[in-house]
Amino acid sequence: MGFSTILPRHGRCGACNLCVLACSFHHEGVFGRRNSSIEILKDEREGGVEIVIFEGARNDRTPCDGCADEERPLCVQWCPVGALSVKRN
Amino acid sequence: MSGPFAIGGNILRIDLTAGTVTTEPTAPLNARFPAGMGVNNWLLLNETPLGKERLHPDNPLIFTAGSLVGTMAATACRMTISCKNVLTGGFGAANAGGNFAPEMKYAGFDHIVVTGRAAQPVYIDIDDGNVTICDAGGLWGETTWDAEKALRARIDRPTLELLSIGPAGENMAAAACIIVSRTRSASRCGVGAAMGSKNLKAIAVSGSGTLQVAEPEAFMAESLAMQHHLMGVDTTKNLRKFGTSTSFEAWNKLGSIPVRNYQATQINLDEADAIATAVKEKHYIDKAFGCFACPVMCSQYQRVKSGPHAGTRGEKVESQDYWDFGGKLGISDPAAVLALSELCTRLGLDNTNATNPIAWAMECYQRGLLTIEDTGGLELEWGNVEVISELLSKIARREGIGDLLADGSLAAAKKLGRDSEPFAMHMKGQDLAEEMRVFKGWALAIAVAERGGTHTQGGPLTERMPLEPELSTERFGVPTAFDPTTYAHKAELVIYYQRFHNLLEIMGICFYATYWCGLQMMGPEEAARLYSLATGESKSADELMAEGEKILYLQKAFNMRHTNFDRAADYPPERFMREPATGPHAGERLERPDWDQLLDEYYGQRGWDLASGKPTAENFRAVGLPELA
Repeated sequence: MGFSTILPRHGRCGACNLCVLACSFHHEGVFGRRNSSIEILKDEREGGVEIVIFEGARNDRTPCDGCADEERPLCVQWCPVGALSVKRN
Repeated sequence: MSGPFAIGGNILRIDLTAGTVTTEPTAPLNARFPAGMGVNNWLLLNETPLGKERLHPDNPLIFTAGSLVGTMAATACRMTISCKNVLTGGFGAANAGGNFAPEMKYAGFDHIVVTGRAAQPVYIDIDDGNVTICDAGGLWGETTWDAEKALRARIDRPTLELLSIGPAGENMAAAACIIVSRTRSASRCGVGAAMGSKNLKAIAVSGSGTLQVAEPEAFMAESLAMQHHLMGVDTTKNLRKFGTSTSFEAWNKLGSIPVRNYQATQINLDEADAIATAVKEKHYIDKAFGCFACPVMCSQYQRVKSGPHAGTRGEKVESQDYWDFGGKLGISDPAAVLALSELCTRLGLDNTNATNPIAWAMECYQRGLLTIEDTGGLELEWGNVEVISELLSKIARREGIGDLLADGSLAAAKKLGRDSEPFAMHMKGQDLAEEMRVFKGWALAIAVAERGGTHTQGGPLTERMPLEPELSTERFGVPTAFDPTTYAHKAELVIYYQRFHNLLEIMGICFYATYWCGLQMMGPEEAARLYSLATGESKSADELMAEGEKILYLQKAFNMRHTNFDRAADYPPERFMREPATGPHAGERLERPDWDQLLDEYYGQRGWDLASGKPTAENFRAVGLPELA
């Protein structure tokens, strides 16, 4: 299916972190935040959200592999507000 | 894979007097008691010393993540915080969403048990297994928001989550709550005061660990199906669009709002219109947020853009905030309700336990029992936003009349005298949030709640839902679940919801995803499937409801050990028996003979002693708690 790029729409994100967990499950079959390729940064005071997707090699994060082995990336499948979409490369 | 599954694995114990930190595995207690809240309640029961005052340093304060928290089970993010109840002296617990509980589990902890009292203000920093007690000197006196901001600047780690108390907790006001993730509140029972009594300003946690479930693929499929199902339900759509606040108008139309300290049950519809319109037309709502793992997203971020409260902004104003400020205190400006809710969050005040004593004081003022000499020059007029704002600040800091109000309306009335006690609206010593005259199952749940006056331990919302008798019987085993004013079968209905609420507390699943607020949402069967797939313990819905029952007995045992609560403590305030409701159910009130019979039925269903309202030794053995017989 080839590599996909995940496109975030920050304004839609409700910061539920379901994408973070879905990603964690994709990588290791478990649930966590640090083994995910996604981190949700939320500014509770101003109501802002940033969806951070780790794509390149980093020491402390598993990079996004676009869920190459899945029909649709798990984060996109699980997002309840349509804040993530996929672009097939 | 081998278990145990879905758990952080450990109980973290911190003695702030000795400055020691120890851990022990969770699994042995999970084998003996229901997980999550069950183990929490056992620890509280087993480790709270007898005969000590409510805020004694030896009393534990226990933070617990639900057993499915940290997984992808929809809405499984909730935490229970328990302590000896600062208002009742009995069982106390508060509950909050947000991100803190899952992070606890990723750090390896299902429970955090804090005892002792630090010599100086401290905060606890949990970085996986590295737990440090740190000086909080510079943070003491700060609001919850400022404290959290300062801690985020000080602790540079990813996925950091925080909870904290504000000035109210530091000053051990009984109305103090604990603020989680800046926007969520663990309210009721004075949990913030318990934290303040330990000189504990905040807890920071971050975890690099992960959780595994017993049957990963099946669990994921079940969870995703549940998520999709929930998102198609109208109740979810409304919660995401408006939050819980639309129920304010609906409940006002039903005549079920506490008005001016419960002197009436319906706000004049014109007066209520400003609030109802602002909610329906989303005047202030910017967007919806979810707690961790929540696809429902009932938390509205709201912003006031103009007028005297411009600049007010933040999340999670609920219908209950409109009862508290709009109903009980007579404020008709919705922007003012948002502003006062924000103030409470910053001060670390539980809206209900703070507004109820103010409502008592305002009624006393109305009746001439309190005078301007008593109030330090404040005119305690209904709906006066400036005065209410000042009173909240005074309660949090125990200044002037705030010191009188800071221990709750019952304590204030006892201190003031002047025949003011009939106007203290409380159950077992804890201030009420709820109007009780019309809906009889609702009233029973609130009256018998072990933590004292709460609808979240068995309050049936079905009495406000359209429901055919056949479906009522099929779902709840009683034909009257939808009938507001009948007493018939309400004991059984309340027992059902007591068990169901506790079942959800075992798992850490939010009530707003469930049967409680919509019969199309998650029920015991669906919850049991998620639980079984996640934990690997195959449990039926009935078995988990029985676990929920066991939790109620743990709470009852705490009250039997630490209080003299008996049958008399399960009678509602006299006002609800003397003064009738207003609105569409005008004339409705609780009648003593009916209540006598309702309590007989409630105790009788469980085989409890009718005279005392207490379980027998045989009852404890029968539910699987022989150690408490």
